[in-house]
Amino acid sequence: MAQRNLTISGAMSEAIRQEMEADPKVFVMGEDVGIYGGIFGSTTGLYQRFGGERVRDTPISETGFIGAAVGAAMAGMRPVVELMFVDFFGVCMDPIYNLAAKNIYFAGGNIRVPMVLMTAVGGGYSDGGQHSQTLYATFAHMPGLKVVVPSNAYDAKGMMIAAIRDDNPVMYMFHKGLQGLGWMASPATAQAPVPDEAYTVPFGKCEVRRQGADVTIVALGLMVHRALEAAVKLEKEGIDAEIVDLRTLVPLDRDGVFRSVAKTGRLVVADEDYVSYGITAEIIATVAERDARVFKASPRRVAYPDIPIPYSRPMEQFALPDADRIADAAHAVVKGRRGAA
Amino acid sequence: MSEIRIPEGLWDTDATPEGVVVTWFFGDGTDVQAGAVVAEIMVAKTQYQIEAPTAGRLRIQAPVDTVVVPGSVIGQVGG
Repeated sequence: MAQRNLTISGAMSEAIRQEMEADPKVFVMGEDVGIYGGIFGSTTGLYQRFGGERVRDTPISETGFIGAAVGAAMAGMRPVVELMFVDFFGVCMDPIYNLAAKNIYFAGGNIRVPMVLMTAVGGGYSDGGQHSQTLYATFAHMPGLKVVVPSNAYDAKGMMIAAIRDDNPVMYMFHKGLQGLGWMASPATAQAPVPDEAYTVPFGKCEVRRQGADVTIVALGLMVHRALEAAVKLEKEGIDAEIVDLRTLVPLDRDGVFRSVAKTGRLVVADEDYVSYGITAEIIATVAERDARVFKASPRRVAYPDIPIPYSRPMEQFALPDADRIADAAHAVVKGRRGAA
Repeated sequence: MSEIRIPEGLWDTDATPEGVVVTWFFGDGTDVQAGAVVAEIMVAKTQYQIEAPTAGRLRIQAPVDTVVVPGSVIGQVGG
């Protein structure tokens, strides 16, 4: 029998279901994760399978239920909590930054915090500046959190299972535009064959999605798919792009990134997060610090401009990094002209 | 050959007349098992899973983005 091509939302809910079946300590909390099944489909079917004791709909109080998840994790449970939109982090930053991220350290390693904080990220569908951010760097910046960003359904399942089994707090940041939800267009390349059985995708290993010789395009989440589209355009111009999917930000596979850039000699980093003080700079610094002599040309960043995300569709679409902008940057890096970053 | 049909009464068509095919979980021409979830239909923001009625080779007739109603035949399974 052929393997199913699952969507990311289906892969996430299947992963959580299998871990809940295997381990009674795993439970789910969040807004609309129960009867509704998660507004982005990440917990579909779990309430019907496990009931309201293990799949708990919470009030709109992120401070309360994420704080409760940290406590439950420290007491030996393995909570999976959903922050509906990452943009809502503001009200619950103390439980995330000061409790989840630091308590293992504060306890000298004598207490574990095995929780998963899954959260929807990304824009492109006119949902306004407080529902459209990715904020990857905000969480990757703080020591103590693992941060993972699946780009396809195979990784989504394996990374969710790895996150649940991890004894550290894991931020699991899934892009709304990859979930396969119908009301928000999802690239076909986000769907992937997913094995029925449980498996893990190890953290800290980037993946080369496309081999190439002329320029490395490092990307994550939805931008992996935009970069793959860009590679098709670039190929017609005689430019052979290598696409590196970071997959996890913490831990970050610096060796894998360097290896690719050392091969191609050129680097473009594509990210939907804000450009300044972000992932793109971290990737470029990673290569430059190790050996800047590998650069045959100055690297370029393609990321979100330092502005609040517009609600207006034409304005938002104009600001979002896309395949054309990535291709222009790669073209400029390879040919030394065209396109501003 | 048996039809993959969207069940009558799957959703309240007075509230939402139409749905849309959002996902096929197997490629056209692959062999599927009876009861396998082969497709997903989105109605407003709710997803409904559609199963293969019998085992056999999948024929997709309503590709992604096709507008459907209860009773619509979206594919076939069979020899």
